[in-house]
Amino acid sequence: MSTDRQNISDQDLALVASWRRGDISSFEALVRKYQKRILNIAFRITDSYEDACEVTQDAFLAAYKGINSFRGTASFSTWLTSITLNLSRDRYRQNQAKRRNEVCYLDGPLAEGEDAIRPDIPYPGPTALEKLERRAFHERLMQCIKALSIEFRETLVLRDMQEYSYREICDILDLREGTVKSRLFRARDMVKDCLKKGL
Amino acid sequence: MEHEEFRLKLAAYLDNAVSAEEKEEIRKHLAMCGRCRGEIADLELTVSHLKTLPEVDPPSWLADKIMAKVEEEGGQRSTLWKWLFFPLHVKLPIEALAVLFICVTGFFLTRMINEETPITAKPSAPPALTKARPPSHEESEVRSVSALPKTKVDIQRRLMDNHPKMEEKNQVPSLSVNPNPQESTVTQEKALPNRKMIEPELQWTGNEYFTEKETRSAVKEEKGAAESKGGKKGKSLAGGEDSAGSVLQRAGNVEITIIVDDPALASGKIENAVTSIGGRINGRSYGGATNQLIIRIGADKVARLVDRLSRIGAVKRYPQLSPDAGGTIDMIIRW
Repeated sequence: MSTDRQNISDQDLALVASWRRGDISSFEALVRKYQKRILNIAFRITDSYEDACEVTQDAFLAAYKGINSFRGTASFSTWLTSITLNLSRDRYRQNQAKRRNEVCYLDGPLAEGEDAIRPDIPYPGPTALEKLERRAFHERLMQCIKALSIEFRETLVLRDMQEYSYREICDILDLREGTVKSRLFRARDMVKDCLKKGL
Repeated sequence: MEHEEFRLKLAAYLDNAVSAEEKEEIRKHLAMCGRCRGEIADLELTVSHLKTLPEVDPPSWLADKIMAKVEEEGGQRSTLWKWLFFPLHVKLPIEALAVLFICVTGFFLTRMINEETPITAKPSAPPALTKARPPSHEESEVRSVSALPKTKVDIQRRLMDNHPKMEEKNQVPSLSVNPNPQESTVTQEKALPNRKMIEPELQWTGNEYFTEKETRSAVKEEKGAAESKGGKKGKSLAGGEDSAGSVLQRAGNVEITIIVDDPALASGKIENAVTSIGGRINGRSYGGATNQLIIRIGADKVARLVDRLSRIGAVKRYPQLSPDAGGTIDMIIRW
């Protein structure tokens, strides 16, 4: 596992070096390699597919502009994830502020615009009933994650969904390992309680 | 460890992120604590649920849009580059000419500025300078004291001022009275603290040193010249400075007057100028209408000092010294 990660990191560094020499196709290779991961992290934090797409674009653009600040002490994916989390956090806070200032309609929530981008989430399952049950459970799980405050949410997303190591999470969030462990326990505990209440 | 401490470490235990020692302790605790066993089972289930959450796929246009934005960003840079340098055969000669033009203009501007700044006075230079540039108000005030023809009384008073024995005999106050009855300017000359250190035998009269006797004869000549000129006072300011004005300045006691914009700021610079060329500061008087610094310096360094002072402010009164003067000189710098 760690050998695979090391190989990936070495490949990334080679691509970064080539990109620094002016080969734009190396950067494109990195975009295609990491766009899904970055999009999913942004999606779990911002809770909006549209926002996640924008954050992903911004994150890659910021990486392109700020490549000189990448020293190679951490892996490229850690550095990119760190940029993404910062942008996602900003977007999340903007959305929170916007919601606080929004007019509340008593006759129900606003209908989403028809042009809004919606994620195409695959639900594999043998029967339609199972698919529906699974979808309902995932929606419930999503609600539980959404209920978490941002610092618990990002720790949970990085560890349980993106499977970053504790060391990498420490680098990305710039936290001590003890803090990461404590946050992760609290986040899992809250999700567990939330799911129990719902079931 | 207490039960709560074990509980907090359950998430890390699940991820195998605890030390071997902690792992063993937790395992033992789990064997005894049914509540913790239930909790770790729930946590494990939650984590497995979280891992089953499906990932969203990026839209097909996302990578292309990112690349388009990046190329737009890079394109802006290359456009600026092209705008500055391409086509090379047209723009490089133009840019080279522009650089040359800037250099030449800068050179001439620097020269012009240097010409405007006061040139360090050489012993023979003041007449030429005075003729070349009409005196300003400040300059004429300074020269009204130092350069106009002096009477014998005036000169004698100055001589007595510098000679303790003569001062004892004649108790005339050390006032320099402008001999010109029309202007009747009275200027108080400040007594120098180190006056006794000055050698009274030598008097500088513009071009050469005289003994005290010779000075007196020069005074007589000066008086005669002044009388012959009659009412033509200030006929030639430069001439006055060369003759009577210089008689007053002694080899051991020379004055430099500088006009500066900020006297307080200039104090430090002037002191630096003196010390940097090996001069010694014997006394200072700051804060009054006129600041003054009493220094001792080698006669061969006076020109360098004047040069440095001229960079600090406009030197309005130059020291009158023989070019071959040796030894050390006590000097007053006023600003």
